Amino acid sequence: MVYKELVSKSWYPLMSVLLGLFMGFFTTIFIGLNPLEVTYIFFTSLASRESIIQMLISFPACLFCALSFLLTFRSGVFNFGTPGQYVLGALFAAVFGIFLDLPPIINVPLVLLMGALGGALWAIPPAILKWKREVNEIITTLLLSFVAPILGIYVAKLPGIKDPERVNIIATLPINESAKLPSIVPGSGVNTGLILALVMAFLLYIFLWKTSIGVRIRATGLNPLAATYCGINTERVMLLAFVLSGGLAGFGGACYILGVSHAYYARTFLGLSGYGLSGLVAAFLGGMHPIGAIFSSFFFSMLTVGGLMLNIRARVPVDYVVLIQGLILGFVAMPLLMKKMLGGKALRMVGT
Amino acid sequence: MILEILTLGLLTSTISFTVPLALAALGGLVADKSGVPNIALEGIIQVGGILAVVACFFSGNAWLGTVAAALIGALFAYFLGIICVREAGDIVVGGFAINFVCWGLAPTLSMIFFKSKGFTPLVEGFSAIRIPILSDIPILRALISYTPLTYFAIIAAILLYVMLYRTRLGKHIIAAGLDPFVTDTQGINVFRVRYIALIISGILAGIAGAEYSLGIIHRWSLGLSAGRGFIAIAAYLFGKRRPLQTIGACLLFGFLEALSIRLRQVLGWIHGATELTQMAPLVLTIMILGIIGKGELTKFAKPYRRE
Repeated sequence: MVYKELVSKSWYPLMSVLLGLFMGFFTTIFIGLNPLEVTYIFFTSLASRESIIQMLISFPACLFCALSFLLTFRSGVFNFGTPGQYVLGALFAAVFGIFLDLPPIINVPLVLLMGALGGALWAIPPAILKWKREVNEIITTLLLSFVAPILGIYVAKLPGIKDPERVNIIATLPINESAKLPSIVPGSGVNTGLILALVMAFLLYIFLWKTSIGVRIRATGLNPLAATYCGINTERVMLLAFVLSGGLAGFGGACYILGVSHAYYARTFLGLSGYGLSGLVAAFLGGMHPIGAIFSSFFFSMLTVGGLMLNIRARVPVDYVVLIQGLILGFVAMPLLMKKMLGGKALRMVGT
Repeated sequence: MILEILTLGLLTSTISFTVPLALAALGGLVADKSGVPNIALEGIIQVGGILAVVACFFSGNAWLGTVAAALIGALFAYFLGIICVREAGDIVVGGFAINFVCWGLAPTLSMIFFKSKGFTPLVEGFSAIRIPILSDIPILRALISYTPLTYFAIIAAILLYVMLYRTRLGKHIIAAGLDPFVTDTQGINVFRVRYIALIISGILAGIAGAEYSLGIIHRWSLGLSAGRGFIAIAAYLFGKRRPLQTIGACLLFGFLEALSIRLRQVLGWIHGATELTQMAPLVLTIMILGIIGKGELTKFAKPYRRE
């Protein structure tokens, strides 16, 4: 059932990806590179063992952010705070990872939950403002996303949290050994966060499609007015979706800290860059479906790694990947054009 | 202590920060009035900033930089128009697509031209106009010594007001935003009107980016826009989508920004003061939006598709 749905719907995102990649590679001609060579390097460099390991390392964070974004989208609101909630989750996990030192079997889940709590806390102000004062959540969540990395610098510089041995960069102390996620492939950095993320995607699918609360969330997203008349408290549903979504993004941030970096480096979270943002695009590309998000998140971690490889081997600037993401999102946003190109097949905007 | 903060310099920098914000906000207002909110203001400011620096660096002429910024702004607004007007795509998603392209493009350009990802070398840019006798009086100097773009912005604001409320085009823009279906049946080309409104907003946002880079910090840096495009949107929402109130809101936000920078200079020695003062304007903007709050005013329009 899921499989059939997936195949029939995946033409549209696939087409967007192909067009976006094509345009992205083609425009490298303007920065004085050979597009064919760039394409060749991109695809060949992805086949190596290191590339695949890097992909698997960055995949969970991206997937968590995609899940976080699609959950609120399904309830009819835009949570563009995902990047900020991701940062807060990472920050909370890094701080609690320093101070909590219990047996690993309790400590790891506890620190992960603390990260989720951080993300959820960051999602509450926009949700309350939306609920009580009907403030546009797009603007508030976005502005909060710009606040989060600055807050991260502030916290990471606090005495007792800052690593005094690292003078040149702003970083927290490394987390305790008992808080680290165990790795799957020893010595490579691929960790159990990968399994957690995949499980979470399936859980979210079951939550949204098979439980009564999930159905209420989707009903609110499809038609708030009708949902209200069916006796659904749409405001509570929206608030719940916001908090859960913040929690998911925070969980992703915590996974990154516990599994990959083991400390909060302020530099990696600067601006709006990073996995929080890729997660947003991945959610759109995945058709706002948790299972679709698995594939699209994988594609975006592939794109990120490919971008790094291009930077090393072809001197394409690192941020060029963000531009390609934008192009892909642009094609995703044009269902009418896609309909024309794919020939009459009924296509609708993601998630409807 | 308080006297140390409340100086004439604070007034000057309030106005310097208000001007680009008001340019972007008024542009966003025009686009919003026509029914296509320009969410991509943030990215366009960023790209306008870098292109202005590139053009100014290689030609040595700040005006050429401004023109380049305006052109790139118009181009990206046109792309946004293709997504949101011609193809009737989702306004938020389309705006974000353009934002992403701009966020990727700005550091890329910086890397290509200056081999540095985070910031560019300093450029001459614009300096404050000096009027021979008047500028020697301290108080008057704080009131009249600004970059040429500041004066341009004031003229642009007046022209925009006249355009919006006194000309045919302005009335068409407002009509297209109020009810595209009716407007279309009256023989007004809604699509063309929306394209024009978007391109106006793109040009103004590009110039705002040029003012930030050439007029204020004299270089481009990764944090050039730092959410200012979204603050501009917040400003016209706060100003209840009216030009004069929008400028008032921009003055408030400009003051907050100038105050935070002044506080950073005065209190910079306290641990963490830099970060706290950086966060304050953004947090206060959210709180102000929360205080005015309420209703339809803060909602965005839907794209229009001919049946």
